[in-house]
Amino acid sequence: MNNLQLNLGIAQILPAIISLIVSTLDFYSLVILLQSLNFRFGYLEEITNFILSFQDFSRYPLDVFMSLPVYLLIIAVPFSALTTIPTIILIEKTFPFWPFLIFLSGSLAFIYFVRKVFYRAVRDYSSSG
Amino acid sequence: MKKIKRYLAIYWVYFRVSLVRELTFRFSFFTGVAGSFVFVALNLFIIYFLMQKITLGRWTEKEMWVLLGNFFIVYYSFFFFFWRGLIWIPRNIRDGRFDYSLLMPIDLQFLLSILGGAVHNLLAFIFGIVLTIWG
Repeated sequence: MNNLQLNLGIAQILPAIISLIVSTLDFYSLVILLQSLNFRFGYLEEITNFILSFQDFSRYPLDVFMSLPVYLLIIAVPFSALTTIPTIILIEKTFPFWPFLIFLSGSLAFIYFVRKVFYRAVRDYSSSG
Repeated sequence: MKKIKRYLAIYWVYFRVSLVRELTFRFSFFTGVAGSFVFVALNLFIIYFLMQKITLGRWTEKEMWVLLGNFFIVYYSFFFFFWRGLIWIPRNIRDGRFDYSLLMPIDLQFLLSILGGAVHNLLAFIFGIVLTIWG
C-alpha cells in the first residue's frame, strides 16, 4: 500500500481478507435466495441477471448514496457495503472493530438464513422430467 | 476434517472438468478474457474520469482504486467460483435434470455452486488484487 502510505499489519490485512470472502459469500447467498424462487415458480431464468443489475452500487462508497430516498437506500446500502467495508478496513488508520464485527455477524446470520430458506424451498420442487 | 478433504477433492474434480471444457473451445475462452478485460478497462476509465471532475465524499482517488480493486475481487471471485452453476439452476429445474442433483450423496447447495466456474474471470480477480495492493 505504498500509494496511500499505510503501514498495514496482519491485524488489518487478515480482517480485510475475511471481509472480502464474506462479501463474496453474501452476494452468492443473495443469488441463491433469489434462485430459490425457481422451486416455487418453476422457471425464473432472468432472476440472476436482475440481481446483477444492482452491482453498480458496489462500485461507489456508501457515503455517496446517503442522500438517496429511502426506497433506493434499501437497495444501495447492502450492495455498496459489500465493497466499502473491506475497503474501510484496509484504508482506515485505526482498525474499525465494531463495524467489522457487525458486518461479520450480520453476514453470517444472512448466509445461515439463506441456507435454511434454500433447503425449505427445495421441498417445493416437483420434477418435470 | 475428512469431510472437508472429500469436498475439496470433489471441488477439484469439477474445477478440472470446467477448465478442460472451457479450454477446449479456445476462441470462446479468449472472447471471455477479452470481455473481462473490457469490463475492467471501462471501470478504470469511468472512475478515473469521475475523479477528475467530481469528488465522491471524503474519498480520494487512491482510496477509490482500492474500492474498485475490492469490487473486482468480490464480483469476479463470485463469477469464478459460482456463476455457471447458479445460472443452470432454473434450466435444471425446468427440464427435470435437478433430480440427478437431489440423488447425489453430497450437500445440495455445495453441488449446485460448483457445477462450473468461468475460468477467464480469474484474470479480472487477480487484477482486482493487484489494483488493491497498488492503491
